[in-house]
Amino acid sequence: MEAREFVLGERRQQEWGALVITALFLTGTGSGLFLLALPAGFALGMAVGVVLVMSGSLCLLLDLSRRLAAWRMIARPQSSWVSRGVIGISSFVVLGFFYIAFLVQEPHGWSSLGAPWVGGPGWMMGWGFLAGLAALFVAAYPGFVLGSMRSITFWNSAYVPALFLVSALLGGFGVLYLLPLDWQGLAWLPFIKNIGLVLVIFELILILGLTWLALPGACRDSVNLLTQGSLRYHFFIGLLGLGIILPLVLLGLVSLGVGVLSFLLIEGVLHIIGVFFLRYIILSAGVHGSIH
Amino acid sequence: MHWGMAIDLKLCIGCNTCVVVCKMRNGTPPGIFRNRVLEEEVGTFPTARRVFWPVRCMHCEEPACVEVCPTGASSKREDGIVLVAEDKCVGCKACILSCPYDVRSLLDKEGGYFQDGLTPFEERVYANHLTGTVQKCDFCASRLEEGLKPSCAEGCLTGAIMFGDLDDPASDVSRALSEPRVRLRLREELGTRPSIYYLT
Repeated sequence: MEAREFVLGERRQQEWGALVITALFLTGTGSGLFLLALPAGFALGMAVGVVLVMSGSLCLLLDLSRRLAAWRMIARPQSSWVSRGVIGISSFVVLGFFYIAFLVQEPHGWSSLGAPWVGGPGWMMGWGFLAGLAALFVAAYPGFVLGSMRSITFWNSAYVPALFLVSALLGGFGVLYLLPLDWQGLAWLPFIKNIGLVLVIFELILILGLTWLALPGACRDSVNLLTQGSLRYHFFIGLLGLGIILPLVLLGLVSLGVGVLSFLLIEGVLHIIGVFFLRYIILSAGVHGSIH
Repeated sequence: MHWGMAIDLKLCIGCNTCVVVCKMRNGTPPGIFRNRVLEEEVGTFPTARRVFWPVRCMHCEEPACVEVCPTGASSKREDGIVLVAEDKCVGCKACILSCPYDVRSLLDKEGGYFQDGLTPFEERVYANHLTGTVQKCDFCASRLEEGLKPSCAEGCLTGAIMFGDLDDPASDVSRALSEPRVRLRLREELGTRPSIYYLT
């Protein structure tokens, strides 16, 4: 028993901690990677994406108190975003796994690039489309889960799902940069860089929107935690500094043609760090409003 | 039939009898409180005073916990009581995060109040709770079936807690709510429509 339990006031959420943050990081990064690798027909990227999502779902499972009853979590998709998430992740893993299995039958195998499924049978294209939809859902749904928690007003924002989606794609870029690919000879490298740049800027705008437009009360307290409180280093250094500003600088340098490959690797690591810190600060800054 | 409560804040003296009676009747393990009395300091010296807010599950008409529960463990009965079916609960904690009143807690540890193991009383009452599940007030549903009031309402020393059928104009709670006094429900802006009213 703690004294705070008997004093009226606001309280930081402690229910979802390290395991859930790790789970959201892994599922977000994995689904983002899958979404990026899918149109390129990059089977290795998709496979890593599915493995990351599976690892994330394992963390979610470990966070449950009664893991053997986890199957019950698919029972309420009509109202519960948690339930929808479980169904979405399961669907993604099944669709993604079989899609990759189909893809590696192709002559180019694991390192195939150039969307071989376009020339493949129609059903395979449909299957890939469904897998992509499931990956999109896995990337965005945590924002809706958090948004459904009425008690924590900081999470009840339209910015949160958008942030999770954008950040998942950036995480996908991060892992993609670290995978063995002939980046120098890649025809669509300029396109990837531009998309990455747009996403980083978009993420910055969303974060500014989330923090500046916070309503008074518990929501403002959450923002104060980020800007002045115990999470300020995580927010300014981890998310804004390492996750956004530095990648922007590197992308600028890459655009100028300076040290393309090594910078891409560093940028990949920075994106991944940014994805983790985004989830860490959003979950850790959740504050239950006072009951009165 | 719609069970509800009215709590007279002018009568509540913060004695915590309702908390102790609830713990005794429901046999909740350490750290689990189905109800609490929160303290608030209002005003400034020399007119500062303390206000006590007895809180428990508000048995909302639109419960946020039921909406987010992925297993259907949290549900609302026709008489307005919101229950947790422990056998269905997986301990995902979504309902704890969603509840605007901070009145749910996870029973995540075994063990009792004393270092030398469980007392015979603890052994008996803790067997009623499943470890790893969410605990909350159920308006003493089993006592209601016997025609009794919830333990907190019965045990309140000052009569600050009134319980009854909100649909019945003759019930204690309806009569208390019909008095010309200021009444409020907590965090009504969230649209949960609690079944517990506070009279100020």
